[in-house]
Amino acid sequence: MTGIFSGRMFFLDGGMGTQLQLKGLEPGEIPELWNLSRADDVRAIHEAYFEAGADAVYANTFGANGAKYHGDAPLADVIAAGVGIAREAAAKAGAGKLVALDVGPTGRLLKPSGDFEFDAAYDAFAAQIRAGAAAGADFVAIETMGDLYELKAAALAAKENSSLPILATVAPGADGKLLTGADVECVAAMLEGLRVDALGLNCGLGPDAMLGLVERLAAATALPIAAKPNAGMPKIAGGRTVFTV
Amino acid sequence: MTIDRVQICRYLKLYGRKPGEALSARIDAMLAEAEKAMRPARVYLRLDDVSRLDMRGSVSLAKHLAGCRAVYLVCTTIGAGFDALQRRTAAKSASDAFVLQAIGAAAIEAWTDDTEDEIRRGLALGERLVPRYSPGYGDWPLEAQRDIMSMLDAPRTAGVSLTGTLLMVPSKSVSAAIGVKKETEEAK
Repeated sequence: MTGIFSGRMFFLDGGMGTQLQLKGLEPGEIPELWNLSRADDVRAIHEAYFEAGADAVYANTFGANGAKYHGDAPLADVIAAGVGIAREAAAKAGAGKLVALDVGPTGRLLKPSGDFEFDAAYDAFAAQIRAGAAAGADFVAIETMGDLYELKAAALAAKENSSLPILATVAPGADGKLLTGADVECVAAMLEGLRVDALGLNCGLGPDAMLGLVERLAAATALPIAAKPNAGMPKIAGGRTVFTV
Repeated sequence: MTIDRVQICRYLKLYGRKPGEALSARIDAMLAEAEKAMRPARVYLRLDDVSRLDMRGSVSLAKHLAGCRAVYLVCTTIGAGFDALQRRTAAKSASDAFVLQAIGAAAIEAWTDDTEDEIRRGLALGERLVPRYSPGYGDWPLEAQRDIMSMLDAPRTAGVSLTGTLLMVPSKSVSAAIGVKKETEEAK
């Protein structure tokens, strides 16, 4: 166990999407475009998380992969701006504060369940990761993965296209399994095999429901574990994502 | 959600006839398998400004939603586990796979009805829903799937995504727009 996640409690930030919605992001709007159009608002969110004690923030790049992103601005610019904004907030927050390149799912389901090719997912992640590494991210945060195979594509892409540490988290459902059926022990086995630096859970569940799964993960892996629960299950109300914890 | 056997038989094209003993047994067996594999999920969003929904030039949808004061966008699914079961079953028995797909069709219909009921319970006094309308009906193009999935953030909130040809995955999923009318508007 080496690297930035080991040997200490490490505080991640909270959600980005919900904060953007509070600032006026509309359903269907591309959140990552705010890196170019409303950089001050995005920066303010990062700064608030650093002020609240976060050691690291996730750049606003969750959906900035070529399979999902369909904005007009070049994707590389969107990623560079997103990481740059987070870097500014980190610099202002003081020494040792870190910036993650946020890597979310493609929004496409891989074969055989869906029709998306593994290689296409890999390529989309690889381009995102190269752009994020070039922009100065400190680590890669793969998150909200619901399919083990897509997670594998993302982790491989991160390994093979940067030398950054990797934190990979999945979003299990209420039954403790991923969308395509894998349980957390499978996740741990695969991610350890791919030599990520830390693994864990995010989204999907509230703190209560997540705790039991964290304990199961702890029994299944020697790697540092991340837990980034929702404040309850998300619901969409009045065009906003709301949580009921 | 309760899956209605009458609906299963309808999707099995029994045309009102009762299933025989052998078929009944297969329905029971597949129903038990399906219930273990299904993981229903749903997400919906109310737009109080109907113009926020891009009708993509659809005349039939515009007519359907005429006079509506709001519209719900809905996405429901019985989950990817059912598709995996369907594939496994198809590899073993074509007849079981046929029964299973009828069960899946009845299940997603029941789950979507259930979702509509939940939405109805949340309506303001005097509001009512018009029948749901899905991309692909009339001249509302399938491309509208992209709008609905993106506004609902459906891959994350319901685990539903689109294929390159705009079909939904998991296959037993429904997307729809459901208009809201004020009761008094109907009387006019």
